[in-house]
Amino acid sequence: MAQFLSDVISDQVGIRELSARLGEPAWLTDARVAAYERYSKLPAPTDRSEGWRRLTFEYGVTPLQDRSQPNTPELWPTIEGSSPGVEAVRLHDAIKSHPDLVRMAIAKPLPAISLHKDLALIEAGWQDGVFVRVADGCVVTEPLTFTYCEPPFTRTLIVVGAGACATIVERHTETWSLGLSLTDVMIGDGAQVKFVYVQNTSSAGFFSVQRARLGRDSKLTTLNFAIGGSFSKTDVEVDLNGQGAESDMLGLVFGDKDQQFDFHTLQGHRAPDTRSDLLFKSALDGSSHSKYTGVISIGKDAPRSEAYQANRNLLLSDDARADTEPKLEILIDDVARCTHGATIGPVDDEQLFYLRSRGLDTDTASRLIVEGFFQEVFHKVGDERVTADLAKMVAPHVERLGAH
Amino acid sequence: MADLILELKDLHVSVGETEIIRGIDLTIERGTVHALMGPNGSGKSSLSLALMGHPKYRITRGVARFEGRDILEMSPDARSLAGMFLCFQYPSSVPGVSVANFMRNTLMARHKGAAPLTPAKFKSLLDGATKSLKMDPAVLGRYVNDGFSGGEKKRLEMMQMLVLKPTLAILDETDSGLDIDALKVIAAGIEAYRSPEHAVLLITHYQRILNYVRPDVVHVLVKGQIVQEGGFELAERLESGGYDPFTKDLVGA
Ligand SMILES: Nc1ncnc2c1ncn2[C@@H]1O[C@H](COP(=O)(O)OP(=O)(O)O)[C@@H](O)[C@H]1O
Ligand SMILES: [Mg+2]
Repeated sequence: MAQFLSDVISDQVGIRELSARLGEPAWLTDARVAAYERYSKLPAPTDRSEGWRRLTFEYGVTPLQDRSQPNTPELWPTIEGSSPGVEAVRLHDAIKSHPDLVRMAIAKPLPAISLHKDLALIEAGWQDGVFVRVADGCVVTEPLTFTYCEPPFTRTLIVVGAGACATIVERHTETWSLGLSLTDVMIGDGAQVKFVYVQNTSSAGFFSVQRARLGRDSKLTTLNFAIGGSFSKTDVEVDLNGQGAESDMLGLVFGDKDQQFDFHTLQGHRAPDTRSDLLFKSALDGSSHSKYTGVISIGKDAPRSEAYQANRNLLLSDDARADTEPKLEILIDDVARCTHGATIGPVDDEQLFYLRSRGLDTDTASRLIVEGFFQEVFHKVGDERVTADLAKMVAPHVERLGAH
Repeated sequence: MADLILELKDLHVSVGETEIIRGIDLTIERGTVHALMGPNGSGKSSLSLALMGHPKYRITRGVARFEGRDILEMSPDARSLAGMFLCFQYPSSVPGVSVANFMRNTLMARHKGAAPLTPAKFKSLLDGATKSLKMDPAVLGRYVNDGFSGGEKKRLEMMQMLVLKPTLAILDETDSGLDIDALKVIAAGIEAYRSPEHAVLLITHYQRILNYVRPDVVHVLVKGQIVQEGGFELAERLESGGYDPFTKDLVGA
């Protein structure tokens, strides 16, 4: 059973101390305290709570360990690939350089679907963060990558200006027992963004909330790549707020041993002529478990929208399992198209036979099929510089497949 | 002594509890082309899948030998490496695996222990095959059969045959669903492969392709049994008279 502890700040005083230590302005201290109030009022989830069913876990509490490192630069997130027109700094520095922008983003949080309590905790207790701003019209050719390894509670704010073009990678390699991460992505009109989130932690419990808001005619491609953590829960919410906005959501999970992955996605259509496409895949070995819930929400103000959703689960062992659930909330008749589909099953016998009939032994054939299963998603990201590393991370797992 | 490539004696094939091939004898000599004709549902695909070792199509009785070796003892991959090849009527798609990567793996399986093909040789081998089948070279970067049209799938099956150069090629309705130009391309591919070293079992529903690939022997399969054998003239008779005269003769199907 996955056991993780919700790291709890014992009281408001603890929050205020953290905020003071980080040298924050009063409005931020107040926002943290308000989030803490929400946190303490919300009940701890059980396996009967909405969004937590079918998962196996023990949710406990422990006093806060303030691991923020305001004076230890070597423990700050590493940022690689800076380019002209891109500002990528620690979030605390941005509070000084872009007070209004950061304040607007932090003081008005969006609701998250299933992680209310954890989201409130992270809003109250985040200890470090990254701020990325891409200037209007700036076309960035190099991918920008930032990596968190400590501390375990992080907050990321990405603001992409109108007409800009960028590829941004957020990587998590934390080793603390509990990890919490919140990412807000704001995309200006006509911007084209690729955002890749890599979860390769060794946390007992890891929670991530990613929220994106898209402007008119903008396009966002997201990839969630999850391979680490014993128990991880991720909300990816995309709001298509501008007319003609487009979202491609991709997900890739490789599970082994008794890992549990719970993904919750939202394709939120809030403006006319918006389009969303989603492909989430998991390959599950050992006794790992993937749970996927995909919401397509098309509001009254989103006529002629198009939404697609596919969830594919490949069971690589008899003990692996997957649950999948689509949820459609469509409040309007004038929808261009809306389709969803899911599959759960082992490697396809017919594919296997086809490859074997060409001389490949069972192990080689299975490996090729599993590699292909991943490759299809990597290809859709359309940036090998980013996905080649990820393919390397799964390679040893795929290599091992023949071993049992 | 005749140089036998394929030798089937009293062969029975079942899917689940249902017997589909009900005792057939067939011998194919090196250097010959045999046509196997029969109406839909007569068991043509079941026979070819069973010969290639599909686990669902079980050989329950009889003898099946390839170049004198008992194939019942051999896995599908061992049969392939020994020189058997099946052009599938309905090949599987393998998303995420490019044609080039797939072909590299099939060739690597054949080069175990030997020096691997150089990249330049590999490329010219694939380019030659795609060109002779009038395929878009971009096919090499596409995923195996994924989103392919019917005709594209048939060409890809043929392309693999030309690259792997098997001793025995079983072509399961590689001619169906093609327009006349595509049919000619496929027929030319078969003719290019045809040689004194190779043998072909050309499975077809229609006589049409046999105008381009002249068979040495024609067998008629109806309800899992071979009901007639002859030369090319038998195929012509089927063209005018259809399969009905044969199905009537058969008792207890
Ligand atoms: N996988 C299968 N499961 C059940 N029945 C099958 C299967 N494959 C073939 N059959 C049955 O076997 C018979 C012969 O089919 P098939 O070999 O496909 O014929 P053909 O290729 O000559 O059209 C048909 O009645 C078909 O329904
Ligand atoms: Mg058939």
